[in-house]
Amino acid sequence: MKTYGIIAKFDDPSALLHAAEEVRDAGFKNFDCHSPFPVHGLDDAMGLKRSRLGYVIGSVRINRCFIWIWASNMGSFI
Amino acid sequence: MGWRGGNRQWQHYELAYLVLAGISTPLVLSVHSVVSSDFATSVIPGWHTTIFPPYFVAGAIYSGFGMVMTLAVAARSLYNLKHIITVNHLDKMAQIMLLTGSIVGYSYAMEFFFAWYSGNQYEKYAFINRALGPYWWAYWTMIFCNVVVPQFYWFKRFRTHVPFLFITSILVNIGMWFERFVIVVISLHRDYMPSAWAMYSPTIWDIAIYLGTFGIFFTGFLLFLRFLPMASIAEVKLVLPESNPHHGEH
Repeated sequence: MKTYGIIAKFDDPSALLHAAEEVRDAGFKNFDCHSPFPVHGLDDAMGLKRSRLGYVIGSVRINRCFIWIWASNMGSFI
Repeated sequence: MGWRGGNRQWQHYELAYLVLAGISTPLVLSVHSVVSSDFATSVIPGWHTTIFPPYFVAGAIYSGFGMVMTLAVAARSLYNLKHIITVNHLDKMAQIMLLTGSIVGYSYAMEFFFAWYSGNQYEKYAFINRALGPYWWAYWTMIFCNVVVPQFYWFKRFRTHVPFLFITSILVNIGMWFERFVIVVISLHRDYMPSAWAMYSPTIWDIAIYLGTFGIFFTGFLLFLRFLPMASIAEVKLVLPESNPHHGEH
């Protein structure tokens, strides 16, 4: 029977963090760490790149502000 | 909805949260600066002053913490959250109210000084009228609630006494309401032309709209308490010392 994946349970966040570092160093890419709260340092321990969602949220929000300002000043004159 | 609690999801969540917070903070400052300029860019004596943007920002933060303190003390008692919203949190909130209340008090003193130092007779009269005119009771209520009351927060004994905090946070809200009353009504009822001077009295509709605003606020707040988590458990766990991965290391 082929092994599809492995799951492990840890007792505290530091055990999870060290395990993630070892899995990253062993070359695995397709893994995830689950926790009920975000664990500091786990992004680097897993070797994850910076999330691009931040850029999306930031640019959407700023553009929304500009559109709002334009609409409240020029929009009535279209 | 597909939330797994996996770190790949937490990473996106935390970054989105950070970006929103990073944009909202300057927004708070800019909103109240702009709102204050609605007054400051007019010519009414008592309004046309450059102190308004920082004064309104500090006053907004002060008033906001007063409101949050009132709601937090009520919610923690009614819903048994005293171990999550702790007296330490209330203590820190009181310190911020002391800081911003002192800035507001300083602004009141500076407004008076500017009015005197300017030599402008209209500006000088506007401030004498605030303190001694027909609405003097509103002005001195404002001074008591916004300047005197937060000074009790210098003392830890008062900052950690929960019933005192509840009562004073309500007084702070009352004081800020009177500040807006003083700025809007007292400056308008006697401006440049004495023949246009009059007394303001609220109509039944003004009062009804005001009570309605309480209604809509508390409707929203109570619906929130009923249907949404009052305190985010993930955030509470996040700040416990045990959840730091370096806890217990040398």
